Amino acid sequence: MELSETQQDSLTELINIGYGRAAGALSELTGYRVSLEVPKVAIHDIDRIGPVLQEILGDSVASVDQGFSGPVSGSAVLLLDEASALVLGRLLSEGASPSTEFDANAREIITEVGNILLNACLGVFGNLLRIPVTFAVPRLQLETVPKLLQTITQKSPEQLSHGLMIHTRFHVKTGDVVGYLIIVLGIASLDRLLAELDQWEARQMQ
Amino acid sequence: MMGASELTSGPAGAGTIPVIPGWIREIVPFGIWTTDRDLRITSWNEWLTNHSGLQASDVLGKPLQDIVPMSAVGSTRERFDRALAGEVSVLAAALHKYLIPLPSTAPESTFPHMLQTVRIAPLLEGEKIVGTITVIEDVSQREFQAAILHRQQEFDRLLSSSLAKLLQTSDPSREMSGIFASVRVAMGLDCFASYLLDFPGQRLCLKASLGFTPNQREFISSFSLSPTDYRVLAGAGSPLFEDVAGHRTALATLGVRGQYSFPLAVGERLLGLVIFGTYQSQSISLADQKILSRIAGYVAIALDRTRREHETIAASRAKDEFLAALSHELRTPLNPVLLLASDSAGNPNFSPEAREAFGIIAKNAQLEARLIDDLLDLTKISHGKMTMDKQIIDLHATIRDAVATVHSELAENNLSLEIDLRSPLHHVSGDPARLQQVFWNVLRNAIKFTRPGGKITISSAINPAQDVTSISVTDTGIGMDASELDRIFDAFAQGVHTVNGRAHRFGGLGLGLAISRKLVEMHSGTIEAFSPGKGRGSRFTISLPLVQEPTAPHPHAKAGVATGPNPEDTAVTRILLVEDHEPTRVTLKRLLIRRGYPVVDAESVETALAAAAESRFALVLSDIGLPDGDGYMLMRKLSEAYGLKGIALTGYGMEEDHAKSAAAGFIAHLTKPVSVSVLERALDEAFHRQ
Repeated sequence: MELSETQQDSLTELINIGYGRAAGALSELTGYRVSLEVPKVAIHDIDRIGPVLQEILGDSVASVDQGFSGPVSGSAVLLLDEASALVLGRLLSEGASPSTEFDANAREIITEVGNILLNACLGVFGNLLRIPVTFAVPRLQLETVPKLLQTITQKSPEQLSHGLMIHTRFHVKTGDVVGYLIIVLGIASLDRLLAELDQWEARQMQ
Repeated sequence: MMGASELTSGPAGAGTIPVIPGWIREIVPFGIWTTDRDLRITSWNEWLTNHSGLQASDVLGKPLQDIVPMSAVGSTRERFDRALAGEVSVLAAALHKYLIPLPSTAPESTFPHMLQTVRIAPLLEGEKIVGTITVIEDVSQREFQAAILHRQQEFDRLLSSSLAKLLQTSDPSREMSGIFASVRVAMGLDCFASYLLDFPGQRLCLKASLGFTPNQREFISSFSLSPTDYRVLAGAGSPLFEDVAGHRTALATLGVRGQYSFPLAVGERLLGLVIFGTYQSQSISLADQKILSRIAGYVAIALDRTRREHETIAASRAKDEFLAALSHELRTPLNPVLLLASDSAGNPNFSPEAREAFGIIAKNAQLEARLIDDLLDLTKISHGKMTMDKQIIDLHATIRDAVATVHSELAENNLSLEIDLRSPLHHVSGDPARLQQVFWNVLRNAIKFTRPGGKITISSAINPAQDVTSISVTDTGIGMDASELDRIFDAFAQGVHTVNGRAHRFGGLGLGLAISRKLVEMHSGTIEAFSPGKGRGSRFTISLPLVQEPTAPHPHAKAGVATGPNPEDTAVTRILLVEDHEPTRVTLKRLLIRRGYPVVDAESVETALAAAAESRFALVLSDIGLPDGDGYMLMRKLSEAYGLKGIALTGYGMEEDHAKSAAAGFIAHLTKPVSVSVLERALDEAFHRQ
């Protein structure tokens, strides 16, 4: 299955809004500007997504993934490499205990940040497109990418053979924090999403 | 852990109940409460009473849940449990905001509650954990100030980085999309749409946007401005405001609720418009709106600057093209004049007076031609279209060739010439024709400014490092003062010299030396002028880098005496002449016939092909610029169909593409105006070679 150019365009614009809000939230949290790259939208074989992610990110990651379900279901993931996670943790813990390792405090902070960002992101489905999605509890993991992907695909309610992957890279303007925001959807959900998008447009432009 | 035990240690040997000494609790500027292991409140300090309105007596013994909203931020209960297990947690204000809702102490802040940094720790008695202790720090003021400072710093950086990008870019309309995208994130907005004014149509057209699907973009793709002048007063009641207000409804139907529009304007001139929006009901502060307005202003300035740059470049290019076209048009009628005049000047059938008259015509037409050629050369050079045919050449031979061309002028002006070429190495990499042109220009200059009876010397020398050779042309002429020396290589600057007390202009366009300098520079050389002063002569020195002399001498093409072909072999020598300019064609035809070549002439590709189909030809002589095609195409066809060879004629001012003509099948390539001798030589080679 392939996305037409128009579909790709529409999805990119929609996600731009979502990622923009997430970046805005992160900016408010940290007090620094956050810059976002242009989101990339593509359909991959489910086995290909892992390797693609790995290429982008390298090996060890701190990730917060949040599953969502409803008419549209999938996972949204915040990915950081360990160094970035530590810096982000420091930025947000008021120098209470400047840790050099990923301790419990740091873990909590990252999970919380993930929660905020991913909600901001996925909020576009709910409050923009009016698709009622429910969110699972965000989960922090410190794992390599393939393992992460395994857990994402395993717990998805849909049988994933292909995934729509939307990802972008962001920088917090202190320069030391680089992360990725990723959304993975199964094909049935993608179809549904596209249908909802069409309807949303139709409702407006009457 | 350290903090907790400090607070709990009382005076040595104190009582068994491990409470914090009352006096400490009451003076510290923090909220402090303690609980037992069942999370019931066991102490509540003055600070807390003051801020919450709850007296200690109200809360002592009550469960923690009564005070702390446990459902808030998920893991609160967990933290107290962890404290009981011995861990300290810190809840930073940035993420958690507050633990218990207390009134804000920063009145300017929009946040209704006090921002708190909270530490939850085990309460120790010796080594034993007997409960929890919670310390609340009011960071409202600090956070508020820090937020303001951060925001300010970040916006300053946003402004300056936007400005930097706009200053550096040559395509601000593309850059602005990136800038607006990052501004959108910084301001917490969802989307933007930027429009540029299209001048003829007086419509604002969507140029860049973010957050709109393709269909939505279509919907808001343009809107018109009322047909008044585009005075930019975006305030209520102005014409622009009304138009934008109309468009805003369109955006509102797409769900964009909060909208902020800013004109892209320079002074009162409108260039475009940018609208930022949000799908949520959000508003941005006045200060933030000012920043957006400033950024819009920068973008407008950059757009305006680029537009003016393009206009200037276009105007300059138009001027250059006009000059080239004009020169070409001025040049073309001279071609037949020159051919006829020079041919007739040598025609034994005419009287000596007639031949002399033709000679004068030829010479003056030649002069005119040269002036125009100079003009064309200059435009070519300035367009970077001057092509060089670089070979290893003997500079001394080139000099001698240049000298040969001015021989008659020297004689007429009664000037003597001394040649003293003593540079031991004298081979350079260069275009022989162009270098000859340089020496010729310099020589003519010397001749022009040296009074009869004077002397011109050409010498060559080598520099000590043996890698550069210098040619000097020295004259005993009227010399130059400092200001003239300064301007000598400027284009169009002519010498105004006093002769016999009266200002006398020496004619010409003043381009020769300007062109010479450019040509010398294109050969990686230098040209300099020097004069001891007025009346004391001048010296021009041209320096060029040397190259290795080729071991096998480069044969100069030496023309034999041009003999006409045997009149009997008509088919063997029949020429197909293709030229669309009638006077030139007629003249060339006559010339060729007089030399014994049968000629069929054609004025277009089509007629040429028709003629070739009818008769057999030995040679094609073709112009490149033809009305219904080009000479290359024609030659290729003729070569493929009939195996014909050809000589190409290109007009002066057109690009000479030797590679292209060779590829098309031309065996020689001549530039108009073709002098008779050059043409004869080419025909000779074509027919008598191999």
